[in-house]
Amino acid sequence: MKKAYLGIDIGSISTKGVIIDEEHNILASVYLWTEGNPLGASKKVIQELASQIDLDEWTVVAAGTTGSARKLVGAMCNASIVKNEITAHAVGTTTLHPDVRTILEIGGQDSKIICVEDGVAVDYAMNTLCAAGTGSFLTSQARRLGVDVEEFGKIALGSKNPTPIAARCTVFAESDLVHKIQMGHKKEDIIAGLCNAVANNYLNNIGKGKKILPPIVFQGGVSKNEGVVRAFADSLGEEIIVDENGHLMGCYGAAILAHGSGIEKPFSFDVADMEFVTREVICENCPNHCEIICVYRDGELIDSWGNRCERGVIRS
Amino acid sequence: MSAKPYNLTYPQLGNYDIPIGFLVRKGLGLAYTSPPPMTKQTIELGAKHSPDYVCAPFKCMMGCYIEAMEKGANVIIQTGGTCRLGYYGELHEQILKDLGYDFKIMNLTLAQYGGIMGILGGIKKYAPKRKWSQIAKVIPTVAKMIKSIDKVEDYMRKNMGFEDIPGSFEKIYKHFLSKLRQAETTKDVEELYHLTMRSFSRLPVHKPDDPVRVGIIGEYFTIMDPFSNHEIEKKIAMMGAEVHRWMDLSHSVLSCPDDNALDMLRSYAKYDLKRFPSSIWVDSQRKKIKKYVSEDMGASSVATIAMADHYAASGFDGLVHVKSFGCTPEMDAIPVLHNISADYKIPILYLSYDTQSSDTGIETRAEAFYDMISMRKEARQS
Ligand code: SF4
Ligand code: SF4
Repeated sequence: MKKAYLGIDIGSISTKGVIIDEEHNILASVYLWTEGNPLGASKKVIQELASQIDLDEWTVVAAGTTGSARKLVGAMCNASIVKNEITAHAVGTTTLHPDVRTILEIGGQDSKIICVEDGVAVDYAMNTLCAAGTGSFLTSQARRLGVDVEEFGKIALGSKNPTPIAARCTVFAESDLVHKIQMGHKKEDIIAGLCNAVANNYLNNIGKGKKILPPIVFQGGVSKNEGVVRAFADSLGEEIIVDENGHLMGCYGAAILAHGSGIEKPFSFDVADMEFVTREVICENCPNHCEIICVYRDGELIDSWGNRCERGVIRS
Repeated sequence: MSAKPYNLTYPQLGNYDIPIGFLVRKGLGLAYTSPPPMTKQTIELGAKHSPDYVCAPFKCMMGCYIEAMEKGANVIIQTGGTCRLGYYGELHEQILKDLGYDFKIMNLTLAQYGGIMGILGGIKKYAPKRKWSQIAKVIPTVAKMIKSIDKVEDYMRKNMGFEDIPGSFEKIYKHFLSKLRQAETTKDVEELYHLTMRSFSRLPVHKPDDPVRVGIIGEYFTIMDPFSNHEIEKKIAMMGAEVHRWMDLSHSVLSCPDDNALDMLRSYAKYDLKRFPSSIWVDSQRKKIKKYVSEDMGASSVATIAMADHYAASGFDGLVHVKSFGCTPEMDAIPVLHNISADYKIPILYLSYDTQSSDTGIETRAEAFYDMISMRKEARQS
């Protein structure tokens, strides 16, 4: 049996998973929608990953999780490591692109920038407050224009004269967009303008004050949009690298970190068939009223967290 | 005010209510009520009865005052001098009076108090029968308590991240605090301090020769109150770092950078609580940061910049800037910190707390920051 490592990235919109070998080659990968059910999505990811590899040949000796539901799914998978998204993305990306200097990322609901020097992150910023630079903004504007957001990129590339759109914040951008439609701007110009707006909003917000040096790798759901890719390339005057595996960087990083942790913990694909339930318990021992999350596997408590002090510890 | 005997209280700020309570009880001979440990309820209560736009320290203090008065306090102590807190006392007073509380406020920031003598006079008003000598007698113990707390915590920050037995530092520290509450004399405090440091030094630790070092800088209240900053120091230390923080009561109000007695005396004689980090430090610190700023931007900003520069120049791996949301002086310091960060190539994590900050969010950012600086250090060492 050869050793393999599993990584899962559970975001609010999508859940991604990989299995890698000791040389960090990807053996299996899955991408699907979270649909508000991180445990269910993770189980599906695990099932599909299992179907992609030969279980007689490989044995998963360590698992790592990242993303917003990393702790919960980490408990489910008996993970060796549970890591924040920034570290996981930085590790994943620098492994595949050892010379990368800047990682741009725009996801469905948040965006981040990571500056890299000699293969390690030296600066980062993340933004979860302003929606104007994210995928959900593009999706909602596409709806307004009656266009499928997947078509956005191609349409934008057809524009010779992108409409300038004020992109300081979502509210401004929306009213400006309505105004530009009424003025009779061409649809492809408006769409190209929106793509520019997203890129500029990003550069002016989280990219502010950061040295954006090449090679630049662009990731996250929005990186699939050629219009935004071109907008970044134009604004920065640099080539923008979009990796076809860009969406996997978080889970890939988590798998590498699981390997690097040196902690081997038995992982079983059977978790996909077990029942996991979470329950929230309010600690009544002091006015902090901590909300303690308890995770049960087939009725048995396997983990709990959320208590600020030891008086709130819940044991099985 | 009713004829009830005075019962004083001071808002939670780290563990400094221990020495303040001692000063009140033993020095002034008055009753003292500790506000209950701060909880979410304190903050909610404080926020509910505060203007929306004020900075978080105001709201925390408001919550503490209310909880302490519910426990029987009827004189609230307001120290200040840092920026808006200088007149926040009046606002606290007005709101609490409107809520129907019957109390007095010992507002140590009132302009009329002027220098240190004025302040002492103001305090004395509450204990008219007390002799000056009785008050003066406890001052060394109070000072010793403050210095002991600061030194014990300083040692913890630098070492607890490398303990072999989880929780070993915390256990000794808790014991220290509970014993300190019972201390009666300077000698008690001294013995307790030495005992605590000895116990610390005996704990098994595995600290590398060149550990990850992080400096904490920022706004006066939030930096010194672990509840308000979500125990940021402990969080980072426990990931495996030596955490340094200069800002504490010893450095900001007690100790003096001058090393000869005459200069010291002169500094203390001109003592001015309105200058920050204190009139004793501010000029020397300002001189040190001349290349970055020419003006004092108020409150703790001078110390923030001076210490950022100092830590960066000493080769620290990262800095964490801590402030309450809406804190103007510290906001003004940020562009300067950007310059320091660029000059020394030192990463800085900026944390701005409001009363609704989520623990998970802070944890995530602190972890990402620690990962970054520790991986960078590792790459440099190899
Ligand atoms: S866990 Fe601790 S801090 Fe939280 S409510 Fe319970 S006793 Fe209070
Ligand atoms: S220094 Fe900052 S936190 Fe303190 S009173 Fe001023 S604005 Fe508020």
